[in-house]
Amino acid sequence: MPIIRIHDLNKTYYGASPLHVLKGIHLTVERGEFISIMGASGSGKSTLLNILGILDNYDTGAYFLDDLLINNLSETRAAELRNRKIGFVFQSFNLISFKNAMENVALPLYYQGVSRKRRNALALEYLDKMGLKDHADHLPNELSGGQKQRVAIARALIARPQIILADEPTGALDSKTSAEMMALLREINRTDGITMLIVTHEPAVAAATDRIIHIRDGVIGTDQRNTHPVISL
Amino acid sequence: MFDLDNWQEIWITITRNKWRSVLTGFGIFWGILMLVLLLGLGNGFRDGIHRTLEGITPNTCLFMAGRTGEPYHGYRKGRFWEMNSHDLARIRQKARTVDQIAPVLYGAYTDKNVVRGMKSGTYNISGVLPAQFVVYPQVVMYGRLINDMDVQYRRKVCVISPSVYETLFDPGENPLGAYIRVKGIYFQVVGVARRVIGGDDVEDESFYIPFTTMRYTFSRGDKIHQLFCTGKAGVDAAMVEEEVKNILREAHDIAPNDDKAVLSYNVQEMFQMFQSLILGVNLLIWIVGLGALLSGIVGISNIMLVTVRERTREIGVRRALGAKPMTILKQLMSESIVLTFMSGMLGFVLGVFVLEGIARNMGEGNELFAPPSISFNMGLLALFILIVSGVAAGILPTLRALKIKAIDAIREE
Repeated sequence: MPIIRIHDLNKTYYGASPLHVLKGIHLTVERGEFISIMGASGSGKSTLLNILGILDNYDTGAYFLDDLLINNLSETRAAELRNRKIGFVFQSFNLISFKNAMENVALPLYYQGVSRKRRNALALEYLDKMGLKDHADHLPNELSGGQKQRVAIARALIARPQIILADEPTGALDSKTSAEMMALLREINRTDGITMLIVTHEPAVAAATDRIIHIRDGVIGTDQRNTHPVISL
Repeated sequence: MFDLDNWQEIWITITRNKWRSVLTGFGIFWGILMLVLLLGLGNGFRDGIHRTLEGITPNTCLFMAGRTGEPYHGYRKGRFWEMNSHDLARIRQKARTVDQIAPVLYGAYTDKNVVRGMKSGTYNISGVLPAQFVVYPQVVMYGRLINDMDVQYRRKVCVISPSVYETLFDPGENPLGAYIRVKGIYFQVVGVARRVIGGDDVEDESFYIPFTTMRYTFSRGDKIHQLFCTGKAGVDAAMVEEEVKNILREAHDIAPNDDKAVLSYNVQEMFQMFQSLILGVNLLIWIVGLGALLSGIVGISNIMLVTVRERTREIGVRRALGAKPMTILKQLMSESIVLTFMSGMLGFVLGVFVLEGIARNMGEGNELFAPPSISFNMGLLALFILIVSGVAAGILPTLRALKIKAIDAIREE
């Protein structure tokens, strides 16, 4: 059973002049896939990501996440689903600056109502997996870019989501760290079986994934299998 | 919902920009401080007035003779007239609203009219009936007051006030039985008493002798200088005033519509005046105090709006990670309430301390001001006002924060 099914998705932004951003997207993603979404700026890839992340609504069509129709959910329900099913990794990490690494990682569990002791213990475990156990009590501005992104990934993983949506995860990192990051995401995908969707405009990042989807003018341009993924950034 | 994390979050946000929080809280602090101080002083004012009025029967009226304002029964306008002792009998007989009748007959006022040995003083000597002490209740310090026997037998006795006692006697000396010479006639002191009114009233230099003694011994004739009447229980002072006036007008050939001839003064009016004065002062206090508080609330609201704007990305990230609108609402409301409450409590406590300091240094106070105070209920009210203020201050920023969507966090600037 596919984790994501999208059927004829349309989205228009109604501004001064209406902007038809997504013009009928069809997409099926199986569990455990490692996918990159590419496209020029303005192509609609960010909008697609927002809809996939239940951060934005769509106009017509249907989006099933884990067999659940996602359509016009209440903010409360959307927050709940985001919390349980989706992990987010952002280009600029978006760690909360006044919380240390452990507290940042534990945040999704806080919103689940997990006790402080348990979620902090779990957060330490995930930081350990990322090799950052020694940095648990560091504030974000005391960490390097790569370390911050690994904290963000730990935060995305802690609620055991089914998919991870990464928006330009290597955008703010140097090439060496980017390569490490891709290796890390690949490993998580392999060991935990978590579906990965990575939005990027770097061909090298896309080359490291199993399936590359190009969005062009609001529709899916190409959708190709990459049988020999290589990490060479 | 109120686990340690919530409080930690709130505390971190408040302390993240310490100076801003302090300056913001200062508005509320100042507002509550002002409100507490004003209310305390208002209470002092109210208590002072009440203390002054305490001990006066509220429906007491005072009558004096003036000049007629209308020609009547062949008399011209502007005639002088006098109340006399027959009026007492008339009022006693006719007036149905009157309870106590207390005439006052003053002695001739001359310099050093009261002498005891080497000591002397100048006092207004009043000839009174025992009813006088119903109109003006007294605290008896030595002996007794003037009684009916004194009046009946025209005894040459006197009741003096503490300040008269201090002038004519050595400290601690027993005044009872001592003789005081008033214009060549010796009076025996039977009591020392002060008015209940107004605590230590330095103005109280009264020197009472029986009404009849004054009348016959000093040959004051038939007249009465002042007449106090108290109404029966439940009777309005205005009714007493009108009834007595009518009796006096009829007896002294004064036109029924003459408002100038009988001068009268009605304590109830004064009471009402003071009541409305107190009400007005309180109203002013609340307007000024709540106004100050309101500007504090606006300050907090304003700063929090800025804070929310600054935290747009953070709130967006929280939303993306699963924070429900309710969670955000609780967080911001708690921030607002905590900030308001803390600074408000500080203002309240300081206000109470200042009031206490004033009260300590003020002693008994004077006629208009008793030591300021604030009641426990007022404290509870302040607490309630603070929480309401906190909620009020938090509403706008919270609404703003709820509009922040998770997308806003992801959108790269």
